[in-house]
Amino acid sequence: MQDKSQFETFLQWQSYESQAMRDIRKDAFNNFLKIGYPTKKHENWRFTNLTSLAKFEYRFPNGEMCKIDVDIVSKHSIDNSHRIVLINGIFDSKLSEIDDIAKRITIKNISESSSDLNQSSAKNNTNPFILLNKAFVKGGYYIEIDSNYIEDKPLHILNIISGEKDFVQHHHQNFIRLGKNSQVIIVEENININHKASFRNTVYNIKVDENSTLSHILLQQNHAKSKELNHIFVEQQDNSTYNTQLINISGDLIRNDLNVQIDGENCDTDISGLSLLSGKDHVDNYTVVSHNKPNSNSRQLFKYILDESSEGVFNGLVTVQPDAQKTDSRQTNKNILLSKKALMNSNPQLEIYADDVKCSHGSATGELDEDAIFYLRSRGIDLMIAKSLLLEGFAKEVTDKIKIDSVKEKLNSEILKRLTG
Amino acid sequence: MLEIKNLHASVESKEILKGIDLTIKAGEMHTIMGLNGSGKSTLANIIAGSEVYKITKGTVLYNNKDLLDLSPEERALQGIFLSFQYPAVIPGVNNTYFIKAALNAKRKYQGEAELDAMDFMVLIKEKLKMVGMDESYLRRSVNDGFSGGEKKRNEILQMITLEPTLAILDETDSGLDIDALKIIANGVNNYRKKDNAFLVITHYQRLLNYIEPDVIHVMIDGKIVKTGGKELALTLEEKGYQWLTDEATVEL
Repeated sequence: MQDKSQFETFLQWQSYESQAMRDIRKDAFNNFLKIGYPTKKHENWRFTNLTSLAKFEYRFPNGEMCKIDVDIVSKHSIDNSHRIVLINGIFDSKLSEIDDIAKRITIKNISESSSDLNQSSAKNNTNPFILLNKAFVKGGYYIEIDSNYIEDKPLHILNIISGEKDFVQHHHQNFIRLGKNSQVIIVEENININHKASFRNTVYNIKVDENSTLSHILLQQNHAKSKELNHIFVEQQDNSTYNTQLINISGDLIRNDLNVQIDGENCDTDISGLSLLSGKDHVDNYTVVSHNKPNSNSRQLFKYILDESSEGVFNGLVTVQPDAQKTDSRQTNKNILLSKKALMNSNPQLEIYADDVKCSHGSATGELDEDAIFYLRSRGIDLMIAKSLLLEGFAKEVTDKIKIDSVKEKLNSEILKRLTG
Repeated sequence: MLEIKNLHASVESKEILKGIDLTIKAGEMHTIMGLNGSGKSTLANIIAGSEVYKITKGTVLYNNKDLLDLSPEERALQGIFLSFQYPAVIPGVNNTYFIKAALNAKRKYQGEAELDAMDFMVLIKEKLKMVGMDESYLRRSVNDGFSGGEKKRNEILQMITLEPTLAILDETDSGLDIDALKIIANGVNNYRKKDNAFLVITHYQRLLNYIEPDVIHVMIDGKIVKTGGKELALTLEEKGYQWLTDEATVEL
């Protein structure tokens, strides 16, 4: 639980900041105290158990020196990519490799551009975790792609959480801004080394300007003591494309709130998710896609593979505003339960205020197809391989969207691990 | 090769097979005919290892060993193949990858080197031609979006690629037009050898214009009620199944 004295101490550490910034923090914290952590009575938190988060006092990583084994970075490296390494939200220039793109892409720590801090789409948001983020934000990245610039090599961001202590909280704000007519692929990996209990709470501000294309792959691979919450705000302008894949590979609690405002015409929005869950993992994906202008397409596809006592939640809302005629929107959620104890809650929703639109949504949860397993086995294929083939096949609609082979291979090997591990 | 004695099987306590006796020797082709619901498909699925049915009595020996002890994949590796009446549709699993995995599982089991992608492509392209399929089938997901006839061709493609010892064709002829029927029959005839055997399940005499079984059995209500030569099919074509039902009742 966050208390006032903890906040006062934090504020003292931040004494170098402007009064305006400190006032924002104070306001946010006071608002948080009024609201408190959400409980299961709140509609958007019905399925999410936050008691363990509220119970423990999470400290700050302030001042703690973090040494990262270079091996960890190389173990996660992706061929043919630019590497950006952040440790506890702080940009590590030694481990990063970005020299050759520095002219067209601005990459810096968020503290250096603090005029952006807290001035985001989340401005008037009353989500308690966003308020906490505003009050305690420290660290995060700012990436800006110049107009008229197309980068072929993916930017690979390694967001590492490390530390010697248990129960540490991290509040980051990340910014991705694409100028007009630009294009970039970002592969972001959130990892957590040292296996200490942690709580990572990040607000993303993403702007995709006219005629630009952003592909953002977010790999969330935590461990059983880590909690990760992401609030991703996206704004799209005319003729822009936003593709994102949220890949959840284990974690005590992963919650993604994705909010896409399609503020331009002729936009494409492709959101997909793959969750590979086991143990007591819990993953929530809450999406809001708002069509505010005419002639745009949005696609959502979320797939969950749930083993053991894991739990998944998909809550997707598509709104089509009165101006957004000729909207074409599809939303699909499909889930496979590998265990009787696994649980899935799915809630796709549509709100349509325009009359000339094409919208569909659907959801299905089931077990692995026994007939298909028997078919494969009857051809001499071993039971375990048959199951993994089916799971790979199930995931393929999402993994096929990822055009980077090493990331795809990694995912397929994770799927295989579900069955043999 | 296959020796079934007094086989009883049920599903959800409803008895479907009520004492089947059937012996198939190497080099032979047997046909089972009979109406819907007589238990023909159940028998085929049990031989292939389906776990949907409960065996309540009887034995099945394959090459003098207890077949019922083996998993479906072990049966396949030892040479049993079922061409399904309703082949499973498996979205996201590539047809080439699937057939290659099946073939290599078998080669590995037999102590042969696994085929690499190139060698496999050479082999599969040759087999495709034999069943009148074009290469586009290799890029598709297993049976996904296949028409009824395409699914059946895909079954025969797998059969001639995996080269089973005992091939069971469960109504592979159903729903096929005459051209497709000829292609399937051709696939079967080309694969008939003195050291392998067939069990062909069909409703119709039509298929028997193109393949010549050695023995014909008629199955009614979970039992084989009549066994004869090729001429039995003609009698059935002419008289239907009713006289056999009457005969069976009289015997009771």
